Amino acid sequence: MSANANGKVLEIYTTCPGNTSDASVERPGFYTEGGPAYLKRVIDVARWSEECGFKGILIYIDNSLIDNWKLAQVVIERTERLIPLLAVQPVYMHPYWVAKQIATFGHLYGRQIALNMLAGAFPLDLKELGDTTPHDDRYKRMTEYTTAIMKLIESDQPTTYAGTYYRLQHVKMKPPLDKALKPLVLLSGASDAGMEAARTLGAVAVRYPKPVTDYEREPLERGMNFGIRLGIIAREYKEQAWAIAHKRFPEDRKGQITHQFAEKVSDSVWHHELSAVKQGMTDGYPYWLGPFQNYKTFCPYLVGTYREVSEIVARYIQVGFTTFITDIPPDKEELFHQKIVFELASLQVRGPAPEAPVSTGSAHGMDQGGAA
Amino acid sequence: MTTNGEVNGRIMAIFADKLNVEVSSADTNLIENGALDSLALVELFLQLEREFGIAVDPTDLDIADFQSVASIGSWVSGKQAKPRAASG
Repeated sequence: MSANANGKVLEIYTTCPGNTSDASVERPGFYTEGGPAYLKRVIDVARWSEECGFKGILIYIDNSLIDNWKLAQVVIERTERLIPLLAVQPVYMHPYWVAKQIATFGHLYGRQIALNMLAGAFPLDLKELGDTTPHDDRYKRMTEYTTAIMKLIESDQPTTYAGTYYRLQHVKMKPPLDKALKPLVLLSGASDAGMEAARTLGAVAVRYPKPVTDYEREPLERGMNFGIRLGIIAREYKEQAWAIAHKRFPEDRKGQITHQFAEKVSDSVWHHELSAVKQGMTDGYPYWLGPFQNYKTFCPYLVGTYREVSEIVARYIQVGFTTFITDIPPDKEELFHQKIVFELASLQVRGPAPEAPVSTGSAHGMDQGGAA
Repeated sequence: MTTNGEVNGRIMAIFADKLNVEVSSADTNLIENGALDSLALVELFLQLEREFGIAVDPTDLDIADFQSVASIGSWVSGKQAKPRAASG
């Protein structure tokens, strides 16, 4: 789904079901058992996403999850065009090997990959791997990391790179990657360091959004591309949407404690910003932080009628967000509801079609009619 | 009135029965010996709420209070001793 809204091409992704060994808090869309049942789920969600016109599918990574590159291969093998949007964390893999993976996918399947670069949102995860790099330095490291990957991918010649964190010496990527399959680069991070990294890399700066009124008050930086990750539950009637939302994301005391503990140990700007959003602002308003506050997901949710939710999405588009990553869908039907929202939002951003000029000199004196 | 010994005993039972962690004494350093990782801490907070009827706010506590069963017991006793806020 790359809907066109007032000249802005929207890029819309969904999210792959996760598989985690961390079963401490039940999270919708996350599985603890592997095997055929989970694989079937991944394939189903990938196919639904493609059928509903989504551009790609985000595949998470953190210490508790299985290898997302393997899941990307599953997605590629079972779809025609869907782009795996792979979360990439520098600590997990040398940039040369990331470039190798991208080139291998291109060589074997002729398919494009997208990268969602992470500087590392979970300090405890990094600590487990012996990495205590401070927050801002992690973004500098990620900038070098991404630069090294793209140099390897883009150059037909041996590549040399001398950074603080990474060095390459006359290395040529084999096999070479077809230029048409150059990976899309997104970057998660709302902090100043994250924005600097996105600016340097020309990456889409992705964040978990605050209420849209915040961005209407303080506009986004011009000249950059921005994306948001959010959940959408929209139906014909508000009560219907909220009933589904509360059933899907019930209150969970253990989840609340886990969220509060994560808030305590996290050094992520977005986590603190969302945690600081006052509940009063969100009650009954389409913007809902219940799932975040109960550790069910990290993204805010828009819940309401198609009209209410699409109006908010339209406002996010108008303030400058052109990439949207929706949450893990529970079923195919949910993706159809999301598609309605994005189509309505695009229509709202485009505005009403201009009236066609009245035809003159026509044999029948009839209008040609406006665009459908 | 509950004694520190009784509180500590109930906390030791939480470790054994709910966290599947054997703690040899009330003064064992739980964090240094790896008994309390982040997942276990969350479960511990939940069990303390249920066992002692207190509210745990992780954003408002000092991890140093959870280094041993004895320090946890003191923290719990302190929470129980605080008067409840007036409702309404």
